Amino acid sequence: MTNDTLITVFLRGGADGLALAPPVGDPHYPRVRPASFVRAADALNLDGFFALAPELAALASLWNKGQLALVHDVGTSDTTRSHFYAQPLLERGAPDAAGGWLARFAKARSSALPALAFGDALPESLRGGAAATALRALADLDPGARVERLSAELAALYDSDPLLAQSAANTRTALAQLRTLDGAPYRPAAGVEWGSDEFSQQLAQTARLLKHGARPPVVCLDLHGWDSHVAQAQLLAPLLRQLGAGLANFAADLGELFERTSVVVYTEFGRRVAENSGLGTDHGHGFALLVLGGGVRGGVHARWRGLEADALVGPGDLPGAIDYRAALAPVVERHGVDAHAVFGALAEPALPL
Amino acid sequence: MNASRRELLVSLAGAWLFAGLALTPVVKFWSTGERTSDPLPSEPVSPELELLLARCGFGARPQERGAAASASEWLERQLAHESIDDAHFESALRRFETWNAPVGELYEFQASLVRRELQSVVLLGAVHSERRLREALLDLWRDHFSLSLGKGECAWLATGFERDALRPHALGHFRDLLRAVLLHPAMLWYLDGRLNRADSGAPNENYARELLELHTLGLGGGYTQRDVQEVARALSGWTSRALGESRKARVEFDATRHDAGAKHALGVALDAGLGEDEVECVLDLVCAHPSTARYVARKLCVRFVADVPPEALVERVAASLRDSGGELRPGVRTLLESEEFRASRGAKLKRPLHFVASALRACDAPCTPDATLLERLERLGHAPYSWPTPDGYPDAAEHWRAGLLQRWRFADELAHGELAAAPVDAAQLIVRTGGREPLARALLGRAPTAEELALVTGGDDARALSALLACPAFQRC
Repeated sequence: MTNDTLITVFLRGGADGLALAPPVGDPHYPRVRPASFVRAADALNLDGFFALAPELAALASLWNKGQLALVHDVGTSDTTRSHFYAQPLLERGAPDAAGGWLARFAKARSSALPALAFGDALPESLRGGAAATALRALADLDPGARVERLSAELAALYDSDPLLAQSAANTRTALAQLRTLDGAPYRPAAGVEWGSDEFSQQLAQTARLLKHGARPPVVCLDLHGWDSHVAQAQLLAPLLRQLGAGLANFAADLGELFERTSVVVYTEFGRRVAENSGLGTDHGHGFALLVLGGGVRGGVHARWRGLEADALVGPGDLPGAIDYRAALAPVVERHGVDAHAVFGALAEPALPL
Repeated sequence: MNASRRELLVSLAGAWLFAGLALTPVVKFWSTGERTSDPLPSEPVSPELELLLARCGFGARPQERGAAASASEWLERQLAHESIDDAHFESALRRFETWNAPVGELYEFQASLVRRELQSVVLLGAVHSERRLREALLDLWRDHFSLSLGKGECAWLATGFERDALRPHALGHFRDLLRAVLLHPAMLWYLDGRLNRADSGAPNENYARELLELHTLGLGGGYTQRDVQEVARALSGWTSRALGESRKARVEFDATRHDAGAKHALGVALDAGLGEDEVECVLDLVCAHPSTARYVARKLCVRFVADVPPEALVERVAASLRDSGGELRPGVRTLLESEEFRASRGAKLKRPLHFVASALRACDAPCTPDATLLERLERLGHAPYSWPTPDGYPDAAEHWRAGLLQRWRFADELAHGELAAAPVDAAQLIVRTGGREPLARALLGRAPTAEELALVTGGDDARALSALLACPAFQRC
């Protein structure tokens, strides 16, 4: 049986892989991060060498159930260390691809529902022809009867506008499907207490959507604020807590449905190994990626070359030893989609995760 | 702050408000003197002027057609914006307590109030300022020099940024604009320049990188990682006083934090010991770089002509900018007088702020921004100073076209008179315009097609108006 919905969580701004999943077993780790290193005893131990940040402790039960995989030192072909180059590069899935990897994935899934993205606009990963709609909340998709009538009256005019026809049709489809969701009340599973932060609320709405039986091929979420040039430890702690609690609640709320759902957590690049003068870190290269959900082979999938200067690249960054598509390919395949149709020829074999 | 100072500020603001009312003997600050029952002109003016009003003026207001100048007269007048009487808009600004406070004193106010008033100023400018072209350029610079109220102390500093850095230079000289941005506490906060210090190890590269990548040369504009690091060294030591310090938001150069060594940036050697003057060298260097004129020209062409602008036009606008030594007006003139511009009617998708402002203008709706109206901008994905990353809200239609549902909802609400901040009476508007067909002509700036005309036949007046505001042609400009 294949998985239904793929959830992506994009940590925008360049999330530090050494903070997300510290290599507590690496002897050089405390030296390179004098201000922010965490002790093994304080972190969530994974395999003795890698741990998850203490603020991600809520993920312990998913780890124990084998539903969480850590892929460490993942990279793209980016050498600019620019957010605005690295993000679309990652989201397109190949340097010469037109449109995003999730758009190609959603097209291959040919679902009745459009792909959804929480936020003000579609992310790069969903651009390029798949049915996709940006929304800020599920309620945004219910415009009431008057607007529904208006959308019908305007349908013919929009159909003849090449720039807007597809968007208008997608919007009408989403309207019709999501207006019928409004009836049944939503009850979170026992023990689930959603946080009031935007990320948790978006995950809660995603859970609500799935529990009502809707199966969008993709739901994209963004968690902003990872660009930790300054005072990194203080900046990242609340974000890590939102991430950990949000994902743990999401899995618990979905229950068995989580077995048919995939979650990918990624970012555009990691950060400089050495701290800067502001107790922060500058743009780097290699990062940590998480895969959660049904069918995943939990565990650590690492290619670690250490933190000594000669193992680093550029101005002192993790080399990104694993091509990120090698980590995404097995996820894509679990949804019944040929990874080659999404990423083209892979630079290296898919990871066994 | 102590109570007496707070009271003083409030009473001062009250005095300004009172003065504003006393000087401008109208109750509604948006009033342009007409009675709301006066007839509204609906006959489209020349296609050239309709294009300028739609694209570079946040949409036509019906009265602008009555005052019909030629396209070239409009452009001349707008380029010489200093001589335009904008008293109504300026008196409206006096109502905003925070807009009138010096940048350091904005910390005395709640961040949410400062934010609301700044966003109101942006929306009011787009709807009501008579300096149409300057407002359009401001909208561009807010993205070119994007900053987010969500970072650090930016919520208190962005007001001064809009007022003191962007507004005075929007149609002035690019180097002055860039200098005002670079040395503004808001930008020093947003891109961490204030923390870029050489006395404790590695400098913070964040601002230097975005200066080259987003503000001047552009990605691929011919700079290297080494250049980023050298520019960061050159700018080290410039800082801004933070909350909790005396003389908050004061920008100063701290020589002890500055890297005084020699540098080599963008192919030019900078002598050791330039100190405070080194920032001027950096400004000269990046402004003189040929990539900068081309990058700024491309931004202008993307905003005002097409998402993928003709290369020849970009080169001509870049040449104008270079020939004038960075004066913006000649470049803007080259652009707006070009054949490519004239031929581009309808080619751009309005961004949401543009859509909202043009809808309010087309309906001749008096606009008093309130929380609901600002929330609508947020829902449309285009709240001022809220894009999370330094690249600014995108221009390309591809980014915005998924958001049609919220536009339809806005059109529906506005036309039904449900927005208290911008009350519209569809029936009265139709009477003033002389009927539904003239209303369609006025909103579209041209004769409606048979299909568009069918939208306004039958049903009640509000429905007809909402269909015009929500139709594809009104999403374009």
